[in-house]
Amino acid sequence: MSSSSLTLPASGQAAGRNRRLLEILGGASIAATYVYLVLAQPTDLTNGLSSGSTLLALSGFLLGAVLLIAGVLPTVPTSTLVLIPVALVLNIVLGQFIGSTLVPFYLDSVGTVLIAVLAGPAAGAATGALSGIVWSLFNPTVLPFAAGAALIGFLAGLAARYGLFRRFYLAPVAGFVTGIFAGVFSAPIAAFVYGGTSGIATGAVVSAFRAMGDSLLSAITKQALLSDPMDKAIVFSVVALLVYALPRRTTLQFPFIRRHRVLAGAKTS
Amino acid sequence: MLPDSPAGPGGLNPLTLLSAAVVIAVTTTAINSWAVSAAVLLLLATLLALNGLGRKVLPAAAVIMVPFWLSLLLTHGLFFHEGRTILWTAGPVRVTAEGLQFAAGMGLRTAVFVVVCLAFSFSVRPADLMALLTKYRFPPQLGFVLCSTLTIAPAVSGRARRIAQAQQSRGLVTGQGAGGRLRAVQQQAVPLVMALLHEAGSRADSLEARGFGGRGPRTSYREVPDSPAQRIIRWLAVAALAVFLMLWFGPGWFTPGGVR
Amino acid sequence: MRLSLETFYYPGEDRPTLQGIELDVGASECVLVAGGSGSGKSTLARILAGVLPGRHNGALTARFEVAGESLVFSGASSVNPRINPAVWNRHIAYVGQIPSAQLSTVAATVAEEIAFALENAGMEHGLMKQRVRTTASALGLTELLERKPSELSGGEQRRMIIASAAALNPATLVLDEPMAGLDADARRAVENVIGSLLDRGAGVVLLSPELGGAGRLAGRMLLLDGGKMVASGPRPAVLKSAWAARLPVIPDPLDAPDRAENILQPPCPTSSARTPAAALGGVVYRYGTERRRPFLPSRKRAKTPTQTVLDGVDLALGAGERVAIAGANGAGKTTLLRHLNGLARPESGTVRILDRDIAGQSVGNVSADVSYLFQDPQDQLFERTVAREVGYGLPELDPAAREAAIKEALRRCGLAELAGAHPYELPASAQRLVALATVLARRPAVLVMDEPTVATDRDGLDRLAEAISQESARGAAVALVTHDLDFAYRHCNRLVLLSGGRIVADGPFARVLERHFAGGEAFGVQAPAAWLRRREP
Repeated sequence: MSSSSLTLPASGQAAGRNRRLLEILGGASIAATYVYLVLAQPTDLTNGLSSGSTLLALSGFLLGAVLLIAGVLPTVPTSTLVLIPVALVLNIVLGQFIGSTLVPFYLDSVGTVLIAVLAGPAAGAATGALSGIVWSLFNPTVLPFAAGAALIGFLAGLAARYGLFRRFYLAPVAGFVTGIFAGVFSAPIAAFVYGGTSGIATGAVVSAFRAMGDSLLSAITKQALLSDPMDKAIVFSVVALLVYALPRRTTLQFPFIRRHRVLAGAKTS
Repeated sequence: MLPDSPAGPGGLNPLTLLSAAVVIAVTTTAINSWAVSAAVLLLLATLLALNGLGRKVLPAAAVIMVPFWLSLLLTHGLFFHEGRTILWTAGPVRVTAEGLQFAAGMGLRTAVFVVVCLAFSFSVRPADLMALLTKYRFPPQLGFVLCSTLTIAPAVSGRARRIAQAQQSRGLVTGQGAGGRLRAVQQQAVPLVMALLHEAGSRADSLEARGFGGRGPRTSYREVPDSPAQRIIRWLAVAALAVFLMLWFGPGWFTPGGVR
Repeated sequence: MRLSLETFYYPGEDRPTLQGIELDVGASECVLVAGGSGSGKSTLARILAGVLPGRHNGALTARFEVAGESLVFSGASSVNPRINPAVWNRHIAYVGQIPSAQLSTVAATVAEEIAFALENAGMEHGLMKQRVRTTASALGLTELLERKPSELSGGEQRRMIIASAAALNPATLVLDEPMAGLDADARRAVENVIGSLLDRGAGVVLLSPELGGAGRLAGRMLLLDGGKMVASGPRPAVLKSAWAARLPVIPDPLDAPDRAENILQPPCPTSSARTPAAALGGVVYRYGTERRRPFLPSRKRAKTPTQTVLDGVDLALGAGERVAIAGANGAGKTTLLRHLNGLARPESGTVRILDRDIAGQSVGNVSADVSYLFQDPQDQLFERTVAREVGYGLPELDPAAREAAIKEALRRCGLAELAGAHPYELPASAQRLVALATVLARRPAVLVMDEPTVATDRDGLDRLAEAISQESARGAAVALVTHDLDFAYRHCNRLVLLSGGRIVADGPFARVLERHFAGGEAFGVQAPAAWLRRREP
């Protein structure tokens, strides 16, 4: 029966290995770029910013994001794939809306975290990276943060995988921790590529730290640590609310949810 | 890049536009001087205005850049304690020439990047991009996500509007101001996401039933304009960029602190 | 193509959604699978499409014979074959229910949408161009080829998606409710498309709650009830079987003369109050008069030239009246309804509800007196249980009265047992009933409904008809926009015809029919079959 032309053979091993390789290369590229940036910033940022580091940061993160996408996307089942555009639209719409207000949050990762909870860390990371790339078609300043968005998607997927969405009060905690990672990760990007933040509210926080005598990088990092954990705690709670409001037949069609019992309550609707 | 953008100016291939955009953005970032950035920005604005794209690109860029500049001015204009040439001081506020120069350098450099990227997005059709990705054997899923996001965006906003109307028709009175709008967003989020997930399920069936995601090679109905001349120009541009970067940064590129 | 299906279970459910189905389709043959809402039609369609059980991981026990191969699925065991959709669709193609949700969203023109399956099959470019042309001309889509898919009407989108599925010349096409929500012209166009497919030698499986319409193309049919096949055979024989009368399928108005003959027009309300419940006076409305907020800041909306939708409409709805509003697509029917609760605001003219001008009142406030039933139930269901849904936005009442109002509305719509279910998990017709219950619970003075009969099975239609008569007996004014004049003829006493944004006829139902429908059709609307037959000597 496996010789039938109407059916698929058992999954190809070689193709799978190539994809894994792409994922690992992507992750490694992002990690190496980050390490380089952190080590290579002894010359004070503000003392004539090194444009080489900027380009390296941009290209390293972008390359990593693209490799991740190329590795993950072909393995995503169509039923998950069609959700990614929906998630990106949610990200962009909420992100633009919040960005236009004077709130020092972003809320631009609701869609990414939603996909991560429904379909796992790999799909979450790819969605985050894609979100940065697609959004940059409207707002190019978010492009360098694509790698950071991928990290958020990945961590959210891990949180779901290990049951942190089974209890409602654990979701914001997981979000808070994710936010710490995300903040520490994205601060050097903001510093090296833009020399600051892109919003007025976040800019005000940075200047407050600068006024207290901090260096630019540490001011931006502190700002990120103020904004990001709260932001992600809110986002994770919103997503928890959403997934528990969905009909069970909808959530149960995702193998990731079934296999790792991501959501609590087998009988509640 | 919008579903109804015009074809590339003068029948240019999106890759040609992309390579031009990359060359401009990378060189200005590498040179990193506010004067050069300002000159490039002026040149770009003139080009776009002549092309007719300026009316779309420049306002969109302004929406992004104005808050960004204000943020930079706030951060570096007022508090730049590394600065030596003090122009004005009051309490913790210290306006320095170095601070202003830093803000101007960063602000203008980013402005070039933003304008160049937006000019690219506004002159490329998503369907062309999908066709190109297919031609160069990228996974079709990538083209799908890029294209689909841009086409469903208006449909999503349409659905959000219908949900808001249905809720109002059943007695929901939304308050005024930011608080009221936030509450309305929260009320709409759950039904909107449910409806979108549901629709996405049907779309998955339809895509799969038409053979999307199969393992075989994919072809494209759409033809994207291209010419040997453009192909040569693209390669030349990329090669020139590589040579420039090598000369500009010299051999000490990778050593920390060895960069200019 | 041949399918013998023993059972199909969705994951985590202990009752099979489908069981005991035998289906075979030959070349140029049309088979109708009829059943009420929730009878398992869509699940069967998706099994035929090859997307189930793969996607939901359900358990299928069945045997397929397709293109000379036979595939055996044996329940939950792990050795089941995995269907390769990219090859499957060359033999069996599938078109789902909601046309806008079927768009590939990557095609900039209709031609590219039709080519989508060909692209995925890796067809060579020249051949593909030719195939798109021949498919489009065979199915009458040539004029649409350069249009944008998202800007087509529902009927045009449906024809395009059918063409896209048919472009690979599959032996069998599976069409899930291809007529839902279409007006007379669009239905005819889709019927022609199905006829052309049959002429080209394709077999067609039609899944629908309607026995008439495109169902008349079928030589054989089977009836589904609760996921079981209860009757199958040649169409005339199955139509005569007891099951056809018992199931909530919608009879063919041309097939069932004896049932239709004894239709009585509902009586006109006797006590006409002095002031109407709702009144439009000289309402003019144009597109472009309302400013919409752009979706993304960088997105420039294409400026649409202002187009007059309503051009001086005067209409008064008396208490207890049941008014049907009909007209071709684009005549302004829905826009007219939207003025009644303030969703649309007139450019000039007045809207009065219970003798009060609603200009300046928010929609939320008007909703105390006017209830609106939208066309798409999924736009108006937001809660996670049916009971909470019905209670949403109910005026402040004490808890006991509120509870009673919810219970009563659920009972009238036959939803008492489903109070705890998730509205989105219900079949389409039950979703429509939930939406109806939310409207009934509010006991409005004016009840407006947009195409309430679409995607509703016979049980739903009966509940709807009962609700209309009870509400009007209570003294509410009921207005419904519909293209289903067969339903309206039975349950409304006044007919308003719209054309080009103006009211071109208004009066007692039978009189309007006599004056305008001598030819059987007027202003893009088809006269009710029952009335036409009664006219015949």
